[in-house]
Amino acid sequence: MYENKRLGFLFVLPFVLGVLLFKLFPFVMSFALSFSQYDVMDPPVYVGLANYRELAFEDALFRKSLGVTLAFALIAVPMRVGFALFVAHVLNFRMRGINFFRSAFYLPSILGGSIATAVLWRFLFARNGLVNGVLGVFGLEPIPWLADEHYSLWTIVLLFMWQFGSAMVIFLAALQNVPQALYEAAEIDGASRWQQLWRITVPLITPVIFFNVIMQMVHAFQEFNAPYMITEGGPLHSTYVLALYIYDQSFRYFNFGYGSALSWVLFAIVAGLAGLSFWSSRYWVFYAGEKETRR
Amino acid sequence: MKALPRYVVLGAVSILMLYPLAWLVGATFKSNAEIFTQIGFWPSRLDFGAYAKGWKTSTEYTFATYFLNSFLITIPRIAVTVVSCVLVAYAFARFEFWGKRWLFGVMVGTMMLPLIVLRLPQYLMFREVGMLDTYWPLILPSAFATDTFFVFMLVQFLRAIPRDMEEAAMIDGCNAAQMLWHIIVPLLRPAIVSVIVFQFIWTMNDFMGPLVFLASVEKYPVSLALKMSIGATEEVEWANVIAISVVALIPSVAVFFAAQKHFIEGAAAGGIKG
Amino acid sequence: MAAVTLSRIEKVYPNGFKAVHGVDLEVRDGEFMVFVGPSGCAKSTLLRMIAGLESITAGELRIGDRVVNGLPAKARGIAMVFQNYALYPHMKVYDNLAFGLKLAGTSKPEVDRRVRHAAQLLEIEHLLDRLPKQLSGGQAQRVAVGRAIVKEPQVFLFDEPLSNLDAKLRAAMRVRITELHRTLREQGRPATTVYVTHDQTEAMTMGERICVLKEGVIQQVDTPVALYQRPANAFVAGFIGSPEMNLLEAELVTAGDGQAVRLGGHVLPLPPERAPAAARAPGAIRFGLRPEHIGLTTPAGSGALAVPATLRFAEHMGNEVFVHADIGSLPVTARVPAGDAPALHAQPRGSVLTLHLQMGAAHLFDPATGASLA
Repeated sequence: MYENKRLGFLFVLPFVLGVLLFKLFPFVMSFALSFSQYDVMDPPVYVGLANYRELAFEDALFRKSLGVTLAFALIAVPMRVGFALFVAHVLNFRMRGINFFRSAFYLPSILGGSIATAVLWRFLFARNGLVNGVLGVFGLEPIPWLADEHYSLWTIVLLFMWQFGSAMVIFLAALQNVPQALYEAAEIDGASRWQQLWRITVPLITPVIFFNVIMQMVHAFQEFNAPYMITEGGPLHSTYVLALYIYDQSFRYFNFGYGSALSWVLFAIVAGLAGLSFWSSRYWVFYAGEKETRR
Repeated sequence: MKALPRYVVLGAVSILMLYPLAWLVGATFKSNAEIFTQIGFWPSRLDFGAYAKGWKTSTEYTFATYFLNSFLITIPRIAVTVVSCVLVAYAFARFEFWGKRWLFGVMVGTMMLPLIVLRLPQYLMFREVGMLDTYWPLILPSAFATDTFFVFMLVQFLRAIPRDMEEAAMIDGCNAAQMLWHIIVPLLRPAIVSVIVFQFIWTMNDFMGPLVFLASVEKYPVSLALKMSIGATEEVEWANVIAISVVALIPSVAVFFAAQKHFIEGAAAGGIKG
Repeated sequence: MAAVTLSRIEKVYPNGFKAVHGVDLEVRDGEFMVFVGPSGCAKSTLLRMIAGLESITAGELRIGDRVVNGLPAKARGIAMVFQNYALYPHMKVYDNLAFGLKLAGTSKPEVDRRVRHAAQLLEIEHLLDRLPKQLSGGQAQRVAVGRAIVKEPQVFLFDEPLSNLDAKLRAAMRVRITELHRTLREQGRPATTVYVTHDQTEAMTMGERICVLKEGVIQQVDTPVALYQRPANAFVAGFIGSPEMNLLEAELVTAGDGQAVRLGGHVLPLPPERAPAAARAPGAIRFGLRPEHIGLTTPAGSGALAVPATLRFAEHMGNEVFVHADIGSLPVTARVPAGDAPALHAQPRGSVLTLHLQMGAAHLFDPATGASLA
């Protein structure tokens, strides 16, 4: 039955249609539109590379937005992945209550993307909100989180980190998959806990680290809800990530052509980073089952 | 690392994680003044007023309408997602067909497409067929298994299941549809529960989708309604807004706890979206 | 009930690997045929080709009078018992047994009758309401067998069903399956059975005929006794029988008006009935002798020849001893009653002893092809 190719294709047909209609076709359309000027009222006008030229050379806001997005991704992703790994390591222990902790840490990651949480976050970091209140207890000055361009991005970064639970759960599963026998052999060989961590644990979970870094990076570049709701891209565009800029250009100012060009730049960055990670992965990702064939 | 330091670290992290939530629930019962002066989360009195006012909102609709809308989007979307993703995952995991490898590569690749890149053309497409300001743009793509994350998760799950039972069923006389219904779906149950839970939570929380495709306030789901209640000003009855945000989160939290066991194991198996 | 006929059956995988090379075989109606061989010999592949779970690249497969090459598994009239039982985990035992019948549209009373009859045969009536995860390995295996019985198929197929059971349970199930086969035959419903195993003990005790396979080629098809006494080649000779037959490099020489075997520096005359069937010039051969035909004493009238050997070590099994020794530089194993070897404990490695070889049970094989020269 499973060799029946026609049957197999029939089952996968919804997906084929779906990908064509809702992914590939829009993708191509987006590319085509990026070479045009289109404001929905009138038909699109072909303008060649004008959009790209503009964003490359003339658009200061684009550069700012790009900088903000890159800064966010390069800070938030390592912090989130690192923290997730740390907590997973602490949690990887035969102890009571592991399920409680797992759920407790996981919960924010599923709530975190919601608007409700963004509202709450905005509130937490208000001038007289909870965070400043806690700082006050320690005798520290309140920080104008949302009003000062130097601090605003950190609120988004912290929200991103608050959602570390999803990455942590994956790390936990990977850590639990490392056979106990390896640690026992290492202990007999005389390795300390620290050495065991760096010589056994970390190398064996590099595929998972790799996977998490990629996935988190893709999410970081797509971040929209939090900046939109909490800081609205400000103050002074200090949290104006590319997704926001694309949205504004497309749906507020109806510059669909320019918006498409911007979204393609975003796509190119994400694809480029993913590609770079894949290429570099052969130098530091270790798959336990594989033999070294070329180096 | 011994046990005690571990518990200390975990306890500290738990507090960091959960205290804001606890505090915010408490804040819904406080007056504005009390909110801003107290960091302890327990309110001095339990005043449900904030919930009532928040529910009514300043628009002509109460949150009852908005919640109903959210469910009108979420429930159909879950139904079509499960059906289409199971069919497609079954195909990838078991069958041979033309272009299988290539299609699987496309699936993994499109998982990485930034959503905003697709929204724009999709908006134009749906505009052409007059489907803007309806729930169709939010439900229809899921009917075609475009939530590739779920397909991927189901495929991984199915790949781990040995084929013995299906071979026995083939000898017993199953055709493809019977196989799917009697054998595959029961075997996939934990993964399907995960799909339902995730899709429920993500759809209830979806903001950008409704923002792009919906225009009339009466069709707004909870996520857009929340945005409305904040407005652009800082002059807000915070207790009301927070109250309604808390209420907005209740369905997701409830579903999470109800299906907890399946949920987290499925997430670890599939590699989860944050 | 039906016979299964394989004609020039071949299996080639998409990557070009040829797993089955031109197999011709007939399983007679009602016969219990065992496929046995080392891993990779394609015995499971052949079974699955008969079942319809693997496609047949070339050749013809008949069940009864029908050519079934193109037919799907459900249309071939077969039932299969899997190594891992393959029970449906979400269905009760009753439903596991009834599933195939219900799919075929069998009436409820008939389904019930067949399920209960099979349950009775296998003594699992008390398990009908349980789920598979509540069953022990042996019980699960019986349910798997029951699922095959209710279908009243033309051919029963078993794919190493006892491999997952512990030794004691395996022995018990072996007996149960064999008895079941005999019972069905006595009841006038003989069950053509093809049984795959890698365990030669199972093969020898259960099979009415055994098909020995190696790397996709049939080595010999015969009754267990015939395989034991008249192996067609060195592979079969070494595979059947435990401990293995001693297979030694030797030389065929002329001695007087007959022939003899030179091994380990000793010349051992061959009884005329063991000499090669076709005239053969002196030269290299492979000499085979089963451990039970090598002893520390000479049974009366056996014509055994005494040969000096050096002891390596002895394994004491209780009522017999496996003696491992060297004749010259050739290692041999002898199987002797414990009474003949009381002092072997104490003897150090390298001590000299005398082995008595019953040349009347000798087997000669071609050194290149392994074919029997008998």
